[in-house]
Amino acid sequence: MLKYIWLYFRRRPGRILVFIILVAIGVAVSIVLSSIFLSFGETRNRISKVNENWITVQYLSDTGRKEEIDDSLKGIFADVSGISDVIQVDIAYLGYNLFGSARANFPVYGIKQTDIARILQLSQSYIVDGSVFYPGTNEIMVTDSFLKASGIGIGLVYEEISEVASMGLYNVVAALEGPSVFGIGPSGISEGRGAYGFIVLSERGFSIAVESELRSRIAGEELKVGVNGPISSRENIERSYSGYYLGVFLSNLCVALVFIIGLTMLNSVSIRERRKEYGILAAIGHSPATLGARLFFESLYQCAAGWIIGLFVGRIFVSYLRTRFFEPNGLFVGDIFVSTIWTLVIPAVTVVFTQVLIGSHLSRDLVGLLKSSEKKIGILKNRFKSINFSWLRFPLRSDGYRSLFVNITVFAVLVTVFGSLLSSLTDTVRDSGRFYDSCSYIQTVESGEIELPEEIVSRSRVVVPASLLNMDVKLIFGTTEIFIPVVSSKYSELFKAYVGDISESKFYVSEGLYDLINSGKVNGYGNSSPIVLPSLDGLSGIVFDEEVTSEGLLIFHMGDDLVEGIRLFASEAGIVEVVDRLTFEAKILTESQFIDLITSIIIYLQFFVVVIIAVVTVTRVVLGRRRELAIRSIIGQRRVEIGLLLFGELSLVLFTGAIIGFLLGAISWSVFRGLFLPGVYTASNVAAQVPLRIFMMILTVLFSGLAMERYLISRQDPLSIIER
Amino acid sequence: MFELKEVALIYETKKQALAALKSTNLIIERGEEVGVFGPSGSGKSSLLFVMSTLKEPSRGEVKYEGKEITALTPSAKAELRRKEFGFVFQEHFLINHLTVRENILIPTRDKRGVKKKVEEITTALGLNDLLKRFPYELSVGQSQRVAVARALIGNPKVVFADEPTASLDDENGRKVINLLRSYCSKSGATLILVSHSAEIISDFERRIKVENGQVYEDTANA
Ligand SMILES: Nc1ncnc2c1ncn2[C@@H]1O[C@H](COP(=O)(O)OP(=O)(O)OP(=O)(O)O)[C@@H](O)[C@H]1O
Ligand SMILES: [Mg+2]
Repeated sequence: MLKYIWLYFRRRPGRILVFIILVAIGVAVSIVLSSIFLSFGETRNRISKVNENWITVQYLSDTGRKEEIDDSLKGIFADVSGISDVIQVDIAYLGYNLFGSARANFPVYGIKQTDIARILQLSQSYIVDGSVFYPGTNEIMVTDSFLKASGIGIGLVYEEISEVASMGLYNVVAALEGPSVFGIGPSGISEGRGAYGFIVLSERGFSIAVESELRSRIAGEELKVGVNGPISSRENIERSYSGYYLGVFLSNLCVALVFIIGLTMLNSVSIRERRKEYGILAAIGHSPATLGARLFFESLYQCAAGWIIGLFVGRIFVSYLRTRFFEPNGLFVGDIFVSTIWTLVIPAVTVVFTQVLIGSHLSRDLVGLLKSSEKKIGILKNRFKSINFSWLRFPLRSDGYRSLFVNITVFAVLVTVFGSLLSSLTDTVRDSGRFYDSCSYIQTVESGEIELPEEIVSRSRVVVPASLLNMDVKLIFGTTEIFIPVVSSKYSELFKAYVGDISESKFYVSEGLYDLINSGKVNGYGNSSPIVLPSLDGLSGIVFDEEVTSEGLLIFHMGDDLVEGIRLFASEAGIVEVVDRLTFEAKILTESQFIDLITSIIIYLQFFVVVIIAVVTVTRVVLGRRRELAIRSIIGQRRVEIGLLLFGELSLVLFTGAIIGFLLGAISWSVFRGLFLPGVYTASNVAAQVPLRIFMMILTVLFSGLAMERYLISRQDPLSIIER
Repeated sequence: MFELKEVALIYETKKQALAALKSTNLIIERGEEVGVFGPSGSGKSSLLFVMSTLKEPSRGEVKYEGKEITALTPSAKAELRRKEFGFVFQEHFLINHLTVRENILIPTRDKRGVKKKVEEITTALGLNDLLKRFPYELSVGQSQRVAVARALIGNPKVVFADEPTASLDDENGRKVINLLRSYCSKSGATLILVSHSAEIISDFERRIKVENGQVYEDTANA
């Protein structure tokens, strides 16, 4: 058995190496992709983990601490046994940027300076850089990885605009290191509106018991107070991880499909070439079963070799990424056990598919196998006897181009489906900001009147007092935030251009948003039932209310140049929140960073695989026709003519395959969208870049085919080709 | 028409260098009917290849119509082969996925006026009923006749035939040879026909014997 395999390997080392390398690349890529996804999970895990150190009891308030709640809680704490200490805190939340895939909020505890040491000790953290905060300031100490994730450093005044749970200005004075993500700062950090409560420390071994006891006591007293401790943090971790397993699954599915299809095609090419060999072996007495077993072990060994190499390379690459990508972006590398198991899918399915293919060949009768020698490959039936167009003759009359055609068709489908899937995610962010193309929202300070400079007023169409309604829209990986302006009904006249006649206070939304709300993919729109307005674009909406507590101004402008001016004015006036076109451009940059990464990995991979397979199949076609091309050359056709013939044939085959694939892909995408992504916003039918990508793919294959022809045939003496 | 001066063709293999042609001098005039014979491996095909630009001589020069042809570019050589030469080989060298008619038409670039010519040639060769068939639907003799038709379609001034009858029975072999000869004598083209047996070319006006890479005029029957 091994001897035969060794013989085959010696005969076809190039083909086998290509196969093994492809398996290895597939495995390595899927490990890397999984590790990226799982690192988001792991980072969230670290964020939830802070609650394992202690139990946090907290309530929300716009007006500072509430004496009566504090008193009831203190009463409960006194009653519950196992509590060793209670620290009074107020809590601000900061958003942790998970490389643009999502955001997770983590707490910054406002504490007395004297508690710093204790908190650090309890959380097993220590200060790696900077100095301790001072009371009465906005100075905070936060986990180092958060600074990396936000791309900021110590000493910088950190201004969070609308993206944090607690808005405000913070001055980072120290970086912490430890197993969990959190921050600490002086009491009063949540500035009058935020979360307040206590950190409850329990006796050793009592934490879970104390958490459930507190939970039931607080529920019993009907207090609107949340309890976070070891139990809830574990639930939290499980919940946030499950989403990432879906991500791992989806992206690995893409990768696996690309590679499985590619590898099976590669195998099918060599199986066809070896049919005669099987025939001879069968003729001299090998049973189909032993033949099948031999070929099974052949592909098994190749796949296993590829898998081991891929695993090895993948792990090396992940550890390289750890220092180059994960840590600089504030991400923690997760456990890659799951992804390692996953990678088995590629070699395993390929082996199975190959076996099915082999089975179908071996089931043919002996003479059929023997006759299908390499020379005759390509000639099938008596078909298409009169074709005047010489480019069509070979493609139509023979099967020579079949694997190339199938290859291109399949990959055009994949490029269309995945390209559309991935770019629709970016489109969501873009579409959610469509409304702000022509207007800016600025928050006014302390609900006080704000004097807009003459320059802005004169150049804007309308200025309306408004507030913003924030909603989360679900994406495939995570969520994105959208901002719906709320204005008083008395201004409805001004919005006629957008909404037509308004008779009553209503929530008007675009069609896209309406669908999302109806399918429950949007959080935060309250109880109002929306009305669709086709004149609104993208994912926008507007709310008209009888009474609006205006928190800001909506400035409709005509020219883009005003956007910068408004921003400048806002920053000079100390206005914290501005939402405009630039906000969304920045959001697209950060939120789609990750999607872009995944998109390009998958697209380039597809490109890479399709080119390898195509070069193999084109080479096969060209090699199969060496004799023919040599005859043409002997009887006086010039190289250019022969090259043109191949060029024409190849382009016809490639373009036809690509067009068919593109159409099939567009259909599959809409089916996929309907089946698997109901309610997930997908902006475009087929991503605009898809045809371009397919075109580039074809060009690459075409030119590699022609280069192959030059290399294999034109440069050789035609006689020596024939004499072979 | 052809003038070979000190032409040598040496095959360099890994172990040794083998001289298939050893300093050959030969002049062939327009319209001549030349039979080349000699034992297997003597260098007959090599001589044909060198004259027809398919192989470059290792030494010496080959002139066609007074022009040195070894120095031509590959596409100029191809042009020359297409316009001036016709080939018939021992194996017919037809292209599998092209019909008989399409095979015959490969060397023609100008498709106008070709129709009549195809008809003429195929009638003469008895191929009229086979035009729509593929080569694998033909007998060996029929394929050989198609190859002859393809060689003649471009009105070549020189016809090179390397053992055109090797896979044919006597009668068909004679037919093919007669066809080639009558075309050449009618159109004034030069015929250079290689055969391992002297018998087939016994009535050729000029016979050349090749032995061990050396070329001799055979004057036995002259
Ligand atoms: N590609 C090659 N490489 C090395 N030697 C070659 C090659 N082609 C031919 N030869 C050698 O050159 C010599 C002349 O060969 P050539 O084909 O001209 O003989 P031939 O007279 O046509 O023989 P036959 O009657 O068998 O066709 C032979 O000894 C042959 O072995
Ligand atoms: Mg010969």
